[in-house]
Amino acid sequence: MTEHGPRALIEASGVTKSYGGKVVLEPIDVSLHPGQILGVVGESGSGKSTLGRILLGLLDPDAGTVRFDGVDINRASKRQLKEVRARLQVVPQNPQTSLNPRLTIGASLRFNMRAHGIARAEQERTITRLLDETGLPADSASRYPHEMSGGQLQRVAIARALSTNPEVVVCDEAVSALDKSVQAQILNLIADLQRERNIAFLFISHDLAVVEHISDDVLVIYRGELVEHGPAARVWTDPHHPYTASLLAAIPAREFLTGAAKPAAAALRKDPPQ
Amino acid sequence: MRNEVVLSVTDLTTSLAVGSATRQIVKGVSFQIKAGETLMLLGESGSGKTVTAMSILQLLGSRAQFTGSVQLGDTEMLGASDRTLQQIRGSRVALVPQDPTGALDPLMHVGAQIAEVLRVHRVERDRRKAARRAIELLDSVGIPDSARVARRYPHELSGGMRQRVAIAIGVSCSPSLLIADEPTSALDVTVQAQILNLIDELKERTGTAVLMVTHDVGVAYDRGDAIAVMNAGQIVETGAVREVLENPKHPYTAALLRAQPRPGVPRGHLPVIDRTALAAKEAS
Amino acid sequence: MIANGTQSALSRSTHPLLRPAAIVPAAIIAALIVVSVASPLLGNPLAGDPADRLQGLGSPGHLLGTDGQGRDVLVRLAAGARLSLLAGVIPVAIAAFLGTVLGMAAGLGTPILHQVIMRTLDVFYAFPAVLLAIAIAASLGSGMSSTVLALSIVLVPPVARVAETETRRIRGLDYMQAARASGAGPISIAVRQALPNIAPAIVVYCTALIGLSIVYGAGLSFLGLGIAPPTAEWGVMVSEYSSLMYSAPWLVVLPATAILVASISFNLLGDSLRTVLDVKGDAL
Repeated sequence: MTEHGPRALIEASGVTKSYGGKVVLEPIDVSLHPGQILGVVGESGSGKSTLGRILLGLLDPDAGTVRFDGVDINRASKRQLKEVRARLQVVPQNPQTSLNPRLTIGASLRFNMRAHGIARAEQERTITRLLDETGLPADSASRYPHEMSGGQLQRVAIARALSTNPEVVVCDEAVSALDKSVQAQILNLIADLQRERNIAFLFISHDLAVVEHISDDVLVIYRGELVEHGPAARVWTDPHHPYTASLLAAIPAREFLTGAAKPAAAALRKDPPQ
Repeated sequence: MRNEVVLSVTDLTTSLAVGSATRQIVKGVSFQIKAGETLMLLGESGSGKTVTAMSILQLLGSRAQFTGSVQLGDTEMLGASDRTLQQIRGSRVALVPQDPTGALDPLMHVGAQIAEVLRVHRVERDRRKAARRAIELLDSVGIPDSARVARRYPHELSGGMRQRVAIAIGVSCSPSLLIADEPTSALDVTVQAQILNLIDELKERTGTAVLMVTHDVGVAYDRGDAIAVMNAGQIVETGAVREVLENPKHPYTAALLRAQPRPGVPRGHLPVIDRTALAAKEAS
Repeated sequence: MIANGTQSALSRSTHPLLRPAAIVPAAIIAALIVVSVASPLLGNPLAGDPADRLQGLGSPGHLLGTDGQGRDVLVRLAAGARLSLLAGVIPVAIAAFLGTVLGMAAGLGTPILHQVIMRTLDVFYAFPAVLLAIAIAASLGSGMSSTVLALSIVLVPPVARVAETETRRIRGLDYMQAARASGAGPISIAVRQALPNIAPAIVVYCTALIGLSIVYGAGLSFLGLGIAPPTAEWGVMVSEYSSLMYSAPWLVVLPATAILVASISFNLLGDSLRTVLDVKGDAL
């Protein structure tokens, strides 16, 4: 794995989950370090979303512990849990439904901050700053979700996650519902946030190409079992597990798309980085 | 039979009521599909590709307005009577929808649903024969243990199986044109490959033409013969698939290709497409 | 975004609140409100000159005639309007508040809380509303407050049920999950996230419920419960004048029609509100 500092922000060990006798997650260990982008790849039914929810403390594992900065989130007091939540936020998959349709964007953002005792004046300042940081127009705060596009809404979801100054953001299929062009913008934004704020991301997706692009390290989950983990570039070029290899092989026109990178990458060096 | 033009769309415009106003979604689109050929209609959401497909099938409701021509074989679809359309849909042109769950009746066995289509279009009027043909069709779409699956309800099947059933219904009356609307979007990538293989096989066997609506460049490259790239209601580029995608001439096509995330592109520097700017440039 | 689209002003349809189906009931309700506020100015509903009794419609000084005791019918109807509106609105307002609180608590709370609340409501539901209202009003004695109290109790369960259903509908939605993940407390989530989404359904339901409450209120006083003669109230009037049905039919018909018209107006207003509130809000 890529080298990181000694202290892990999220440390999950031996986490398992079953539903009605069916094992959804075999014992699995996950650790996430400050500023690290960890990708979790799996198809539907692989258990990756269940894992995400367990790591967020939205679901109790059947066995194993999940620690956030040393705190066992399943045994924490309400107060401890609340503090953890401020530092551990989520960006959900569907931008159309992850925001309350009857609240303005500003109201949704304020709700998140209010829950953590951020003062009203501070809230307003933060909203202005976040809208700018996520590339949203300044008047977005008074708009309703139905007035905005999917890409914009996902930026709002990211802004909401950032509103409490988290150290970890879990992206649960956060770009899967977006067009490729919009997806590119959101991925760039995530990369910028990691670089500028040293936020760690847990990036859950079924799209191996996207995960490889954005992540430092990758976990591959198949039927609840961790079958592969390693640095992103290595997993892509030299998968150790046959399932990973089959995922790669199933990507339509993989050679064409990766081949197309070469001329485009050359052209890229001429463009000034934004 | 080969190389015969199955579908000819000329200057199609489609306007829909959006809220209390009318908006033109498809703005003058033209293309042709020949028998045995797969045309990929590639575009992002809002490009008008699905509305184009639905315009061919005339499934947009009574308040949709059209100009231009959509010729299926020797039948003009725009302005055709409801009766004509009912006869054509399912038998001469069939739809494989994006989400098979919504297209299947949750209260009917899947075998019965296929048989019903056969009987409605008079392909097989006898009940028993229709039921048997339904099982054969389930076989032909690669469903194991077809006799048992025929007696199952849609919710008892996996997503991939449901899509196969939807395809079986689609090809049951041997249509000359199969319209697949993002047929693999709701599926895992490993199942996607199987479904696309299936469509290819059926195409080989029956010589049907395929119009596939997709947003996935990889799928278009892999499976298409011809391609039409759509942005903001217009076709910006057409031609043979490899030609267009390997040597894109239109800035939108080029930008779409560059936006695909892949190794080699440094993180945070994915090229970004400004669709509206490109559309505006196009219009000027 | 709609830069290239064409908008046709001709195809813009009328806003739901401006259509006749909304304007007429709204106007009627507005008129009722005006009349009930102005009723003291029209005269004393209890004062009557026996010499003037049973004057017909259009008699000089008595537009709608007089009753068996010479009291002006129009003045009585106006006074009755005030009481009927109050009997309609106040119980519904109370039930709306209590019902929403109970419904949300049942919908968002623990399974035990849900069971306790819903089963208690079921007990009330087991009784036909009218019978329940009668029983409660009878035991409370006469007067407006007795009517209001009885109707409030009777109307809480249906409102609670609507609130609970709506709350359950949105409970699992993504934004509710996100709200829980944000660490906010349950009351904050209920009031700030859930309530704005369930409020439209409750408002629509309660508007129509006012119509029902008016009918029930009049029904109670017709039966001699709640408001009693000589108070001028529509239900009382129907009861009082029923003996004169063959000699002075307008005395019965007028208040009965008033009850009908008021009730239907609130129902129709509720329908229009449903259209408006649905059109405005939801993201999908």
